[in-house]
Amino acid sequence: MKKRMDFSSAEESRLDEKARQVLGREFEVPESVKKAQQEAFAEIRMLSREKAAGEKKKEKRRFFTIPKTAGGLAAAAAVFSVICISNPALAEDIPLLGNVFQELGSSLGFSGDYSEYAKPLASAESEETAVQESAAAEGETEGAAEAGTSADSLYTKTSEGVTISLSEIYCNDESLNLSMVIHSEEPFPETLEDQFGKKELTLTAHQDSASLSFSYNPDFEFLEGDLDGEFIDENTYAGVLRLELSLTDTDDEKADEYYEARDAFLREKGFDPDNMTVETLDEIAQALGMEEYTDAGLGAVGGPAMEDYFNTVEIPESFSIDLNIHEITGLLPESNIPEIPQELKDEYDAAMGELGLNEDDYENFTEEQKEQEHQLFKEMMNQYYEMYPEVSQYYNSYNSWSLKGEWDFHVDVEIDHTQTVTKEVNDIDEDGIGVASVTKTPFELSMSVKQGSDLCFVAVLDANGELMSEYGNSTDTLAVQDHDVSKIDIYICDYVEYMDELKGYYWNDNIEESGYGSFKELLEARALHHTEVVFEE
Amino acid sequence: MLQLVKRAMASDTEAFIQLMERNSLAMYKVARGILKNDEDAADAIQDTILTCFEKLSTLKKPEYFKTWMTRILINHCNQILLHYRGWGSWEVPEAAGQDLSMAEFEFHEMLAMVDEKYRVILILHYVEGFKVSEIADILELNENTVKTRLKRAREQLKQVYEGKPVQGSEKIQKITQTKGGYIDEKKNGLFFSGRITAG
Repeated sequence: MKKRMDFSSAEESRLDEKARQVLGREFEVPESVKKAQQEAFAEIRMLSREKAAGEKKKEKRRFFTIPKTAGGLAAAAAVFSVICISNPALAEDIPLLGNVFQELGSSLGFSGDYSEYAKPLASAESEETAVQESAAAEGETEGAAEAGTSADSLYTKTSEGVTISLSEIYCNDESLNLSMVIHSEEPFPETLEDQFGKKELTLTAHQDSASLSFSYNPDFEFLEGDLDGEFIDENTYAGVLRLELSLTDTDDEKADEYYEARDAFLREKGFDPDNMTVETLDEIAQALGMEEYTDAGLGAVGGPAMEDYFNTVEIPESFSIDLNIHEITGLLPESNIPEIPQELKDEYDAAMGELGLNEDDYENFTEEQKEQEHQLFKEMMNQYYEMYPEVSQYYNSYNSWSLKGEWDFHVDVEIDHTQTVTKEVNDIDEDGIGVASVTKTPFELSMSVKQGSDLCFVAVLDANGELMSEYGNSTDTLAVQDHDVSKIDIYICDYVEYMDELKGYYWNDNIEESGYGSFKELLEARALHHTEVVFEE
Repeated sequence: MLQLVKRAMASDTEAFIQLMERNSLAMYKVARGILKNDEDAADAIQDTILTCFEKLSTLKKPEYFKTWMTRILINHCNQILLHYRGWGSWEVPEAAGQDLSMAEFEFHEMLAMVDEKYRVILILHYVEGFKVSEIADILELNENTVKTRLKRAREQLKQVYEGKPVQGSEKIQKITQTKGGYIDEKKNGLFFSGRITAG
């Protein structure tokens, strides 16, 4: 396949061969390159999972197949032992239970000192008491404990050799933060590290992995159950489940009405909403004159408008949650997604051969031949997915491990308003772009931004001109972390311009090439809208 | 590889990762054709993987994948070079004393024999098997320029291997092999040193 230059002499050919041989030789890439690659892969896996979660949320009925993951540890009752962490300030060991926020606080995405505000749920002492009490009462509880074991208490449940203890809770106007300790009798399987060296577990790998209902919205769909945390030892994981309250107040009944209206609209246009693929979405977009298909865009092309359907329910001062966990999942360090089997490839090659086509010659195919090839390729892939249906799922038995059991909790929650400051800004220009209000808690900044009709990106600089870059479930929420937020600058930028150009100057540390003295100056000049918000004079 | 590209284009993340893994040595060689140390090459490769993932939807045809990826990689390498120029400094020298296989040693050795501006062309031509027109497209150069540079690069190689005088190649210095298998060679800003390991 390699194209040679036209070299006349044999001598030159020898040189040519030598160069090809020496330069083309295989060797291991250096460790630094391997490391950089692994970091990129970790980020990609994270991005693709976020994307998958986002799609699940927005278009919840589009993709249905939820395979069961094989695995799970052998059943064995676990007696919870007291795990301690060291506290340098007190120069002593303190129990992990009741102190998870203190242990993880600074490493969390929405980092900070939660222990100042969080309310303890389970503590090591109460767990020990629970163990003793239930051990004493074992005879009486016999037959009643199907899912749990004798060590269960209100905030500690054991199933299949795995104990989950809810440690502390903190809820403010923006988010509910529930810390927990997961202790497994058997060591946890090896787990993939992300680019920050963190190992994330999730409670919502599949639709039936866990449910969470809020007393004010029993039908809440629990999709984002990733735990931000770390392994304390090979049997113990401590993590925080963070839920943005703005995601919990959608009126699902009205949302269901929307999806019915959407499906009816699509049927009316000649599409089958029960059988959607990436290709049909493109066809719909084309038929309806949309640049890209989104549910939100249907309103503009004669379909049902989301905003007419999506109502919110009011979140009360105090409420309760029911968390039912059935499966804990983590990604394996190496994924073993099966290759397309050789016989399928052979069938594809044979079918191509019958048509007189060779894949290597794809470049010279006519449009019709490309279409034929595309069809054969699709058939092969469909057979592949039929053989390995799990492969189309983000979490599957080739790339993840899972522990199954039944861990059910009921927790009372009270919203702490005392640390919340809201500024009503109402700085909106004639194009409908601007900032309505900004809310600050010790851990998050949440903005109500009006974006007008074009896709925008909101960049926020702290009082020192540093970019705030850790987002919550939406780009309207930012983590405060160590930023000085006594004053912030909110820049609403054109999405493409920001993504393709502006942010590069910040991350590549080459602002001088932009022709401006600082990233702030650059944003001042290029943003569509700027609002300054002062929290402390 | 075309199958993998197609799977990656159909949003199969693991296929994309496999694809990148399979191309890692090729990417490394191209990056080292432009950049002078492994750390910069690692940065460029990392950025390339992320950009390819982000922009995969802009790849119109799977068979253009290699060209498309290589162009992205070269852009990232050039950005790193620009960054150095912006700082008014020259390159970070390669850390000395790293273990190299014979194959890797010879690869670096051969690259060091030719002028910087010819190196990436050699890689694209001999390693990747790109046509002159494709190399011109990737490097945004005129085809004749590519042909000339390729010719010059070969002349320089010829001179080193066969000791023949070559036009305009006075700059080339002799490679010094010192005891213990170390080489230490400085030419046109390149500083390369490493230790050969068995295998």
